[in-house]
Amino acid sequence: MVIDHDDADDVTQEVFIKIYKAIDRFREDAQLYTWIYRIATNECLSFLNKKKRRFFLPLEDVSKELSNKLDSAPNIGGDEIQRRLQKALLTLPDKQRLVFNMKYFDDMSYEQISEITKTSVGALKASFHHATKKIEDFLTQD
Amino acid sequence: MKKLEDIPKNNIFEVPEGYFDKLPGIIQSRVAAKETAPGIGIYGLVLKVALPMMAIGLAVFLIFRENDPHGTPEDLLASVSTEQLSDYLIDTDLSTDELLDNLDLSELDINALNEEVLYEEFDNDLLEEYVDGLELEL
Repeated sequence: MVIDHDDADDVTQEVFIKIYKAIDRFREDAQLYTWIYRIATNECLSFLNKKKRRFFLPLEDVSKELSNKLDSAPNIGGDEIQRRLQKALLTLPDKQRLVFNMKYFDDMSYEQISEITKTSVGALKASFHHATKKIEDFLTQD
Repeated sequence: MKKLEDIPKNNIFEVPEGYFDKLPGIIQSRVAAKETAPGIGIYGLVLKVALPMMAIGLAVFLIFRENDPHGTPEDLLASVSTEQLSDYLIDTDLSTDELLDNLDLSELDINALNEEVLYEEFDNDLLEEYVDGLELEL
């Protein structure tokens, strides 16, 4: 989600610190996996929002910056088409990108995603469908 | 390339070697650092919370005082000119006696008024006009 390894490291550390602090409040009616995933997704979205606010950047500029990192940052492998897919993902709104990543890369069910994001299954299906369409449109461009 | 299924589904983001071995230690040290960080104490609390609250309270009080459109009745009356007051009193149906009844005059005020009336220089023409208007009973 945040592309850069250093940013991912910051987010990961914050997530585990939050888990450590809030573990007493964990209710066992949810799975631990779901609870941790929810904290991680919230932290991730909040990190991206802070990044935009800190530099007063419009959405397009943040996407452009992250897209440039795909070409220059270390610790990014894959071939040309896989990086192009990641660039296509960066054209999506953060929440839609998050849903796409959970469904496509993490093979999660809509029910699991629904529990984590507190969004209805119908809305998630629609979001994934639109995301796929936008990505394929992007990939057909030069 | 048009379809998603034509793209190999791989995670292209690599983790530096040994990252997850070091991560627990980093998190533990960060948690410990936060737990042992000195508390702000009572004076710190005063500085961090009470002072800004007092400053905000003072600012609000001053702003409201500056912008208060009403003020005290005395302040309001003082801001009205004597001419405007007399115009208002002339236009009302109040008689001189009614006005005097409502005045809370001290002895000093009464003496001062009497003195003023005694030494008032009357215009001769006005006096004659007044005397002519009187219906004297002979």
